[in-house]
Amino acid sequence: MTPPVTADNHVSGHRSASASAAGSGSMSVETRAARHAIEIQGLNVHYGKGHAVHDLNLNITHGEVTAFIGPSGCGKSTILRCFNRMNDLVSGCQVRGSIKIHGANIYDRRTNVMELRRRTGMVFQKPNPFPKSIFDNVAYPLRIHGIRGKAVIKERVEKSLRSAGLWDEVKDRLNTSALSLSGGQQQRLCIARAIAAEPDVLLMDEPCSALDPIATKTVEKLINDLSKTITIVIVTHNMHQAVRVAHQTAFFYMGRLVEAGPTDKLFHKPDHQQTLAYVTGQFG
Amino acid sequence: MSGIEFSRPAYSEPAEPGVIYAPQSGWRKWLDRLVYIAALGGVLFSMAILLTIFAVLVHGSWQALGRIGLHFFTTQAWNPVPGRDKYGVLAFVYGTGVTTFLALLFGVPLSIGVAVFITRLAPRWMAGPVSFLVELLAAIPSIAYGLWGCFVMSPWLQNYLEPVIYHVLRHIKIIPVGKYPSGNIEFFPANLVRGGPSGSDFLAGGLILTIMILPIITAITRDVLRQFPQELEQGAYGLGATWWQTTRLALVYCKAGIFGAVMLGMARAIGETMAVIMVIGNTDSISASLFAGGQTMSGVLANEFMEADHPIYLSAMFYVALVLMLSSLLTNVIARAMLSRISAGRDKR
Repeated sequence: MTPPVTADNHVSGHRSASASAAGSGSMSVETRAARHAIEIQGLNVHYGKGHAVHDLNLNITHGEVTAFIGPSGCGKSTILRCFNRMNDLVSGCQVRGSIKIHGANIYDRRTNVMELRRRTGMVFQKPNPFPKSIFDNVAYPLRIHGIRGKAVIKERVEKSLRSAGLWDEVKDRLNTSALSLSGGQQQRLCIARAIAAEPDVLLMDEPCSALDPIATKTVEKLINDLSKTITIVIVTHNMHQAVRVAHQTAFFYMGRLVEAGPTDKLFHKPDHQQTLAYVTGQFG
Repeated sequence: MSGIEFSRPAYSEPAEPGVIYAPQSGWRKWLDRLVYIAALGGVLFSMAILLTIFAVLVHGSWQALGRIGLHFFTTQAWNPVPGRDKYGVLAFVYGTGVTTFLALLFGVPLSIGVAVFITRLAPRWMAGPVSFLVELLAAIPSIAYGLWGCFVMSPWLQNYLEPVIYHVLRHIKIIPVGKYPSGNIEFFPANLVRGGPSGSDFLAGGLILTIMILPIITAITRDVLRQFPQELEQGAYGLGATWWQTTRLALVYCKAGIFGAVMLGMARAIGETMAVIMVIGNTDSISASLFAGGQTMSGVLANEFMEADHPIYLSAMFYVALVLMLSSLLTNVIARAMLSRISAGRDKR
């Protein structure tokens, strides 16, 4: 399903990073032959004169959930938005370094950004369904990517809604407005929409911050289910959430990666004093 | 300084219970009443004006209503010569309809395009000035448009644009739509240019109206497009939508507002008088040809109100005014009905 990491289909000046040479931020667990969904090398992001992300090297393991944690303004959302090049839309935002998704450097000049974004679904902080019917919301990414067949669209919409655990709740009212759903349902609809075009990676930018605890629980369960089929990167403010959903966690502070590793280790035996201070709630 | 001294205890004694029963002080009560009465008076006054105008129009057209009745709508000729006295509004309804239609046909895509440019395409340093210049078009008096239209646009149309259109379209005969009195078959779209370039015709009327409705539709569309939420824009881009796909989503999201803008433009096109009569040729003809002269309802009133020298003529003029007012009213009602359907569709369905 996933193309193997190859050395010849990227064009950056960097050499292909094998798991062992991935640098200090590597999250690969040595005992496993980890494949990397995303490889970040020497990433620097500037907003005008502000330096938002400093020299980031990090690999994100294929098929796992990776959480980005850290206090506000630590750059975690900015990094997430590099993965599908949403930062292109921010004027004055400069990205340097290389990010490879399944081996292809997405900041290459030849990258088809629309196709990149199809392959990296994104879920936002606030549920943002379009003012269309439930069906049309999930069908939207299919339609904009040129899928025309009615039967195909219908089948994929159902599949996505089932994967998002929403099908049973909405199957009898697919033609009603998406805005009639509750907040938690809307967010699951947005997840269904994000996975409809069958992306390789799902990016979630604080997907539960606008939800109540019960809806949050449902979405977290959904993240667990989805992680069996798709690589997920989730930015969260909620450290408990990271513990609940993520295999790997990366802690950022002031635009720098402080520490990354298996979630258990990061929360219980972190290598850095700063990480310990953050995960034990001494600041943040 | 020894800290803050509170002048009264944290929980002050309740005010005397009797206080809330005391009457409101006199002048405040009167001020309330005064404002209330003024507001109510304003409402009643404006309603009274509307009703009075309607009553005056009906009263003024009473004679024509009795003598001509509904034939007014089936008669094309307008011949106010005493003794002949033939009055029909058909040609003017047609003229208003055609010029308004042309204005919307050209003006709506143009205005929406400009609004999209200002809100979603132009760099910031450019959006402001473009916006300002388009709005400036609204500040030009109608008579100035007419003068420009009459002395600049019409000759230009006659000498440059219309000959080109004429030579292209007159050979294109696709759909037969009828027969001319001469026996020749009338074809579409060749019939649109029958008679050749004149410069003072429906096309000129439609074009001058296009320019005049441009600022209002653009300004309102721009404002509603700015309401398109950032989250939805990000959502669309995040799914891999292109700029145009995202823009289409924005236009669909804003369709109720844009429809309102178009309706305001349409109202302006229907009512606009001076600029149109200076370029439209002022005849009571009904022709499919864009190059034929015509007349609008408001145009005939403006042209002939000084000349209406006998009672039935004057009464027929009032009748035209009545029809004009009712058609504006009708468009408004239809627009409101459609608008509520559109917005209901957005919120509910």
